[in-house]
Amino acid sequence: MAGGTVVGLAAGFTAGYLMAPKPAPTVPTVTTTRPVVPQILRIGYATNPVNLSPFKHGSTSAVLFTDIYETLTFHTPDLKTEPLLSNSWKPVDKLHWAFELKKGIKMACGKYDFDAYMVQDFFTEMCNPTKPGYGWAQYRSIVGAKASDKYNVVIETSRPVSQLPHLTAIYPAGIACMPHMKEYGEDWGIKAAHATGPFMLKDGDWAKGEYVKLTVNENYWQDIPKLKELRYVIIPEDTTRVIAYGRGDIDNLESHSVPPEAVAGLRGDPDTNIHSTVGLRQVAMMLRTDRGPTSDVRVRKAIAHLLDREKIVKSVIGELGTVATNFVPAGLFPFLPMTGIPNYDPAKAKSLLSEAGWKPGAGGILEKDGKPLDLVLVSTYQRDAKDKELAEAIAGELNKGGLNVKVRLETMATYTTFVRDPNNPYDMSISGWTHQTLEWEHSTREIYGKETAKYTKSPYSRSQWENPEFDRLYEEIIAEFDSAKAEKLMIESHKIIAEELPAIPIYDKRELYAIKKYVKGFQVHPDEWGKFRYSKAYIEKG
Amino acid sequence: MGVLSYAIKRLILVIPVLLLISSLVFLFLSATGDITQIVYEVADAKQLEAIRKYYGLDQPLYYQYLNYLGKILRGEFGRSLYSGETVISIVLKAFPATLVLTISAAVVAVMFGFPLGVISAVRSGSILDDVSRVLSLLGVCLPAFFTGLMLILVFSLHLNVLPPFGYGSIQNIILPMITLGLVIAGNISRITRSAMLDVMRQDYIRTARSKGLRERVVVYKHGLKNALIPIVSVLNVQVGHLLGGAVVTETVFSWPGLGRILVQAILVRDVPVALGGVLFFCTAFVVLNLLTDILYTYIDPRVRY
Repeated sequence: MAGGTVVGLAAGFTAGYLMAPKPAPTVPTVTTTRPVVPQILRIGYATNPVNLSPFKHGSTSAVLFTDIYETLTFHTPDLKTEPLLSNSWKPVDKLHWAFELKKGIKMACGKYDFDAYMVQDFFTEMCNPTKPGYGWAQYRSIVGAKASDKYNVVIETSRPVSQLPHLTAIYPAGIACMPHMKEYGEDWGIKAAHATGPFMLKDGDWAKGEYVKLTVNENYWQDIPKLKELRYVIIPEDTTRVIAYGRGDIDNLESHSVPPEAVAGLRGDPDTNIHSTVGLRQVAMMLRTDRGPTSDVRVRKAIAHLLDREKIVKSVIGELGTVATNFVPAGLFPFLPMTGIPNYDPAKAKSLLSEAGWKPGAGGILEKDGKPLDLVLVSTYQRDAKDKELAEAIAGELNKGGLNVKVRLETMATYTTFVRDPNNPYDMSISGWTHQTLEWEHSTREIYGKETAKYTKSPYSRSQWENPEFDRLYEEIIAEFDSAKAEKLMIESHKIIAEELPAIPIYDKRELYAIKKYVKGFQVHPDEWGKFRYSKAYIEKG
Repeated sequence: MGVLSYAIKRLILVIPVLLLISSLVFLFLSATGDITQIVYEVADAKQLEAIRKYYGLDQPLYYQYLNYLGKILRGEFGRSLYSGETVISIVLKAFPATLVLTISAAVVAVMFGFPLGVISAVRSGSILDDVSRVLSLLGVCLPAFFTGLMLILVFSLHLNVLPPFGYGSIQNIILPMITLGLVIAGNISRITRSAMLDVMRQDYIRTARSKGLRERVVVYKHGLKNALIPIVSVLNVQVGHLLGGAVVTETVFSWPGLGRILVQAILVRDVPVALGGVLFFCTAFVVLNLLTDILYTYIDPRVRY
């Protein structure tokens, strides 16, 4: 909104003001009995959720999905894939995976059991090409599922997917209560939503633009949460949200809802715990390899050498990010070597640019064949915190090195279509990617892969990079069911990315929550869409 | 022509206005990005084809538009491309909040702006006039997000007497209505002053004074009544704009009104919601204008339709 800087400063000031140490009460209070504390958690949330159906558009609502829906597999906070609604899994052949399901799990409504027929029904609905939904778009490789008996189901893929159990752990694969979903039709996810998860949306509990109330699932198959209600309170304005938190109108600030300027003030608050972890989202600068000056790998490497990423991340992103150390977020694939994102070295950059034919010209801007080194950096200002400031800081650093970088800022909607079309005139783009599946295809091919006879081009392939060796390795990796062999192939393919540099990773996002100390049992998760953060939480006051 | 036939004629004229506006909104939104790519950002090219077919977006633009118009005539405004909720439901749920904010802000505006303008005109050239004009200018110049945040800092944070956000109670409306009301109050005050100064120079005011009428009667009965038409006109336009979305105030105070929804729909190209919202606002604006025109006949009996 207009006045964003003023508002940001106001949020920072407010956090500092609110969290300043308060004088101790002068009148001692004596309590003989502990008051009963309502187990209602009021969560400050910056965005309006859209719909709580896994088949509808998801990302802005996905945080709430994971309170309601559970998946066959689960990513633990230390990034391992473990069983959740399933007990075990195994590949039947290259195109089929068999899952054995847990028994005795009921849907939150208490009327229906969770079983293989429910899973079959879910995937059939999700993969229905005549009724395309968001999950269907996400799971391009899944064809459907077939129940073998009540507790065994086989998932079929259109091509080998050696890491399918990682894929089935992400939010669009949360198994809904299918009979009720069909009963509600288009109203599912708006009026009601329930599954096997710890909380559920009941009819009438969503006041659009105000709050979403999720009620505890009394039929939950694991320990029933102590919290009776999660109330997501929608407060889009940063300053208002921080003030509401400081006054005690809300009990926590969700990840993505803590303004960067407010973090220092919140850290100083004796009543607040800051929960933070390196997340699965990485923000990078994609470099066009198919056009203009950045089609020369020397120019791409020179650009990387001109960026003091440490300084940029520290000054712009602050505590909400850490400098990226690899082409995937830190800790995602521990076996990958540090392939070396070029470090800050302006002299090396100068030499590389000179080698590529770019010599100082009029006004200090580099030139080649009489043409200045003009570049367009496109970014949205509506996705990650400080997108706009990040793009401007990068352009500033590059311009110091003799480049002429113009920043083009777009709304999320126009950005999405603009960067997707290679005919559009841009050379670099700021692009975030959440590596939420913990597997290779989603983490690299989606960003770097090209279109082949077998595979369609990913909408996120924004560098337009093509490398036959990388594509050959990719096809081997996804068909390799021996994980040790697959890891070796991944390392090889990763080295190619580092050599060719179609992207410069800037920072790994940190998931950061500010929570009142009376809220106990909160679990932080690296996935930006969270996972069971509140299923063990409770409120303890006095 | 009587008031009733005038009203019917005006309402009929609304139809071409709505057609024109809906065409413009439809064209603008369709021309500035592929909706399917925006809504289904993760879909690949083949999937996008299927999605376009599903939503009928593979058809020519004119066909899509005519289809949309046909549905509107049947009372179907469609569903949000994102949430799947019906447009009617979205609009009807949010409109009460917008209406409450608009009416309360208009009350604040009249309560402050009107007396300030009258005092300023009657005491023209005095310190009171200067103070009043400065206050009016402040009201007009200060952006709503600044006023709103300052009010929150003072009344919610420092004094801790009013909530900084929320909807549903009297306490919740106070800060948003003052924020919004002050902006309009500035305008009302300025137009009231100007209109009153103009009227107070008229011969009939001099006549009233020479007849020995008390100044209070001269000002309120003869002066103010004749100055009302321009003031009501300005108030009408201001309230109309508020109905169209006090989006900044709604955002600052987390007020669940229609303005925020409409802006968001336009930003993410949720065409059915954007079109439905715009048509609704236009209709509300036209109805408001009509009511104002009818009000003129009561304020000034010389006005005839």
